[in-house]
Amino acid sequence: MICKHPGRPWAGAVAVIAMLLAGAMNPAVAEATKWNVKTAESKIGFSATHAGRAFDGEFKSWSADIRFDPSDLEGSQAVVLVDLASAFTGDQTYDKTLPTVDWFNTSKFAEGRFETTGFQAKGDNQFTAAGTLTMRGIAVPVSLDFTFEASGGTAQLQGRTTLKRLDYGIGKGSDSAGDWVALDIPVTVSVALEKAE
Amino acid sequence: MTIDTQKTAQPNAAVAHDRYSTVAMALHWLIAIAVLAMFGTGLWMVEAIDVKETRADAFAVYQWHKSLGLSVLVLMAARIIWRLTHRPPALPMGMKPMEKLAAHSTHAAIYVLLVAVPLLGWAMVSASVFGLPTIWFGLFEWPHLPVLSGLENKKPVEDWLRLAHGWVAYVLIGLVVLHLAAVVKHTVIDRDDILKRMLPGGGRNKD
Repeated sequence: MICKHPGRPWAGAVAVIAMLLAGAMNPAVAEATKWNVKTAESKIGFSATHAGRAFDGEFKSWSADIRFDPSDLEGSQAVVLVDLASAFTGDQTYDKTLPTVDWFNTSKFAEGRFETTGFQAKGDNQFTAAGTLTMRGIAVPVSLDFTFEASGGTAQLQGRTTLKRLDYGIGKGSDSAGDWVALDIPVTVSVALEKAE
Repeated sequence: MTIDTQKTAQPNAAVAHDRYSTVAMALHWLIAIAVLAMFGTGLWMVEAIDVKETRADAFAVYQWHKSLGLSVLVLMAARIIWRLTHRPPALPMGMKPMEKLAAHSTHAAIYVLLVAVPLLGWAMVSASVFGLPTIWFGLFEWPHLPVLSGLENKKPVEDWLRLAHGWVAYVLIGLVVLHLAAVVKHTVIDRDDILKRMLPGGGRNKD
């Protein structure tokens, strides 16, 4: 910016101040308490039905960058990255099918990404996170209901939402009518947190 | 037993080879049992997969049918190698040339179809739009056939292979019925020893 206005040295300073002001007013800047995920005690699970029979699974590999404070929802934000190839149901037929082109297509889109855009308190440690979930390159607004219970330096987050797999084109070629695999996929998150230093 | 030992020690021991070898019998009966199970599961599952109540069970049976069918293919490879390297017992002397021709052609056709039906099944699974992997009896992944699994437009190929797999299997059922009818004819009408050639245990060298 400074380079753009070589004849007006003050213009650059004005621009910098403007940017700082904008930053202070931008709610997307997360300043709330930062939490680290205790991976061993945390889980992102999903459940579905296939041919009318229920099964469930989880993502073995994911990471989350979480800033959350019930008293500073404006400054709270979470970004969750999920390695979609790590989906595990324990049934080899499912586990080897899920990464393929028509399902997660992990060779092209390895990661699922959930990024919150805002939080809403509903009382009694209950919250709703509004956000965007991106899978297979398709971003869809998703809201996640969760409870957040902190005690001292640790906290427990339990949440659930239901995704519509066709929103992301998952299994669209094989089963677009839901004849085989349920169209609605409940997802549960159970996350153990500890305050980051 | 004692009599058998005495007999084999005698000059007419040459007739001992009028039974199939142990390996040939084992392969014959293993494949026979497997193929009957394939007929049963195949005929049931194609209907049951369309009925909501039985769909999940039918899906499991499909996976089992795939595993067993590929096993038949492997057993058939062993059987063909064995057949090419070992001479089977001669047909009964009393058979007319036409009967011998019918017997040989039926056997040959059954061999061909016992390879063709599982191969078509494997091809059909490889070309399936579902792209489901075949996990052999839940133990390891059996690969899809190349080319077919990478096709751009699988649907028409899969549909054609499914029809072919089904119809060729029906022909095989027909040939198996013919095979069994021949056993009955030889045993009841001709009263020859043809069945015993394929049965383990007693009856060796019976004149």
